[in-house]
Amino acid sequence: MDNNFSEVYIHIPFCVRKCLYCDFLSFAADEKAKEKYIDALCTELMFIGKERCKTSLSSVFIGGGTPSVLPSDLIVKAMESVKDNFTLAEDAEVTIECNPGTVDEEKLKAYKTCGINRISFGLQSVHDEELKSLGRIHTFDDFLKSYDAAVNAGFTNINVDLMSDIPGQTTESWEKTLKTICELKPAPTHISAYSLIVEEGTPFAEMEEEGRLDIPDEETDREMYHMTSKILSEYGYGRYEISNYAKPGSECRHNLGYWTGVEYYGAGLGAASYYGGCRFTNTSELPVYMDDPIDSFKLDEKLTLADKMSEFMILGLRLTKGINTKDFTKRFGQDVMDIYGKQIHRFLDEKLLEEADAEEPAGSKMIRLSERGLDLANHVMQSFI
Amino acid sequence: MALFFTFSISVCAQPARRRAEQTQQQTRRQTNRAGGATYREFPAAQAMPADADWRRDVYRELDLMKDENAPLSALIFDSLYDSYKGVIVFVRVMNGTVKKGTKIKMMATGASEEVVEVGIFGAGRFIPCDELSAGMVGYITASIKTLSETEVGDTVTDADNPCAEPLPGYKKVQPVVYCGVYPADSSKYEDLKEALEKLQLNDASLFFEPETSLALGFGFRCGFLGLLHLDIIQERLEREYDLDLVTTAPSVVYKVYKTDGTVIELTNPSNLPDPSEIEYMEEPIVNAEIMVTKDFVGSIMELCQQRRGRYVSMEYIEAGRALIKYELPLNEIIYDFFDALKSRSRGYASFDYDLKGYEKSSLVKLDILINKEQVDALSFIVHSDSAYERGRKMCEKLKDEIPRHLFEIPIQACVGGRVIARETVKAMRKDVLAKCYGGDITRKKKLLEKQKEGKKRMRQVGSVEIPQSAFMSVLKLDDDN
Repeated sequence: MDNNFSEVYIHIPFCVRKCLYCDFLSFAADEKAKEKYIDALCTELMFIGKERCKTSLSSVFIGGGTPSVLPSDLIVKAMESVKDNFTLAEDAEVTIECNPGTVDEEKLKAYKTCGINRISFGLQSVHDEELKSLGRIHTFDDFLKSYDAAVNAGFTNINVDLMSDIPGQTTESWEKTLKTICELKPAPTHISAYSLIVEEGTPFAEMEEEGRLDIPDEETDREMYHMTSKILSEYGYGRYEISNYAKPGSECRHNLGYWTGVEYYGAGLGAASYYGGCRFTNTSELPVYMDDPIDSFKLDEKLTLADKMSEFMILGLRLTKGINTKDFTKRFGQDVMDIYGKQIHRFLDEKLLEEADAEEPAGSKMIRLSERGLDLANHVMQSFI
Repeated sequence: MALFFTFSISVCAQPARRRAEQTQQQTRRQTNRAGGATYREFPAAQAMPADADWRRDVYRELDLMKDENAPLSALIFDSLYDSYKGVIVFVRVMNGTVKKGTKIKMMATGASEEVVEVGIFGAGRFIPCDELSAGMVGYITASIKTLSETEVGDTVTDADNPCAEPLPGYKKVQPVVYCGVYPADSSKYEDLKEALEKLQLNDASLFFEPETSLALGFGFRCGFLGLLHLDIIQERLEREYDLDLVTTAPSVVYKVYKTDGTVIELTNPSNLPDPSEIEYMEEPIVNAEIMVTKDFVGSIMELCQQRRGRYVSMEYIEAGRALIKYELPLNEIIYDFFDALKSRSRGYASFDYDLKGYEKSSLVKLDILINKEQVDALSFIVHSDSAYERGRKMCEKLKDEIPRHLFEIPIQACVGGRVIARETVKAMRKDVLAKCYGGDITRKKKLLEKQKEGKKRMRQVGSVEIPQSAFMSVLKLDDDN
């Protein structure tokens, strides 16, 4: 198979403790298990690497779980394996997710040395009581220390994850969270601001069912949501995706890849890949993965042309700039209006979509979600399925 | 056993020509047996044990056939559709004989076909035989393709030598409860029609006629013997015929006396004439018997009272168990009476009813307006005293069932143009997935697919999409549960 993915995702499924809202694949584990896991991961990377990937990587993302709970030598080992087996582009973006309180300057310096150049902190809130209600193990103070450590270690490209709609949150406390983070010195280059999703199977879902989850009402939620883009833009962060904001030029390249149909390889437990027109997922069973890290994946779907078109739309519309009609034509050889004209016109009429002239190429148009359309994105996107 | 005798009787009761034919057949059968035929043969007369001989003699004395050459008459008591053989008609032969090649005629429907096979019933299978004669119970296939040609209760006769009069058949029963049955997917209308026809084959009491609704499209108004019957038919349509159905609120048959002196039997609330044309209306009343342990007598009587019941009597059939008799309007028990009864008696109460007759009553039609548009499938007839209560509950229920739209949707309950209850479905403000990264794509796509699928199953009324569950949910309004 000819695999020409240009992004690699590495999943580290370990956490100190699982948060109440988390539906990612993660759990606590002892040192020995972690070491063995990295060994298996390196085996997988070796197999999929140089031999099979002909292009150079434009980004690597180490996510989790909490990758930073690993001793730094294990992360270094994984990174060495990436560098040994793949060609990393000169300006590749290499991100690691860290939770406040799990890193110190030494660890961060080790990251820096092995080629990691972007840090993503899962902070969520600057209020300790809100952090507690989410089941996070750190305080805001822990974050400040970790943030300073990252800056001292020489990181300039830093993301902070924030969360609205947290139980007990008010518009005032959210405003404070946003402003506090924007006023950090130096300020982070990127902010991801999500509203809480109560996912099935999480403790939060159970609490909601029992009526014990006191999340802000819809009015408040919308107020916070609209406040987010307003405040962040005042501080110079442009919204480029439904939940992502960045200083100009600091958009997360790795994630942009997901939304623009770039092929990627996901290594590690439960990681998802997309290449050769197919989506794959590695097994979520740790013993199965450890036993055979190379051959424990399954094919989720083979995308038909129609699937690809529909993904182009629903992923592309997540971006605030929208989709470029010429890009569609270039990729699929058909005019987007011939395929989705009915839906597009309907939503243009309902003012959920809007049209704008694209910067380039000349004569092409951008189709994007309107302000209101961003609130009702699913309603629009489902029509492209 | 009886089958053999009638068979041997027919041997003797036939005219010479037939007797010759049968002797021939008998010889053939014996040869067959020697050749190792796979099906079980009827034993020949000489092989019968002694007690069978005795029985045969008894039957002979009984003189089963008054007329030796009686023309064929056989009563259809059931039928079944087989994809290979067509309709398999289950009959009891009263007079005459039917065999392969006989040209038969259905007396009521007039359909005429040539018999392909006759046989008797074995344990879980059909056993072909040469002929069915008077007294025998068996089946006939005659490549009958249309199910409507074989009505249960109809008489099968010989087309060339028909009997003078059809058999009395079965007593036609009148449906008591009606409701609209619509395919969830409107393109399945033909399938629904076919399924109903097939069900009607062996359930003559099922009644249906085409009907259209603005909200639900093409469907059928079906009549049932009662609620259990309704439930069973609905369940069978869904399970055996793999149909998704939307049913409207069940309605009883009201008698509408019009000012011009005519009477209408109203089965569909939408057909109620203008109030100015109505002199008065009557509704069916049932005699209800409820058996319940004594602890729940109070709450059960309270329930009956709420449902406009008229107390008749109560007796203790044994210490601790009472039989309560009430007269209840049928339309009060067709919705959720049984559920309420069960929940108030912790499942101990049992309930039975039979129709008593019609009584004059103060009835009104309750209409539901969604976004100012009347939804005909949700209209129903209710006693004027409970109109407000029911209207309010329906609006509350619908409010939960109708998904948010991009605009605000008022839900109103009206009686004769006057709004008696109102709820509002607020406009949708937020419907967005906060996160969608590499590992989420497949899953989130499925989520959107589900959302889209859900939309497909909605019914468009004006600009509002109403889920099918909304039509069903209003059937269960009791808040006891």
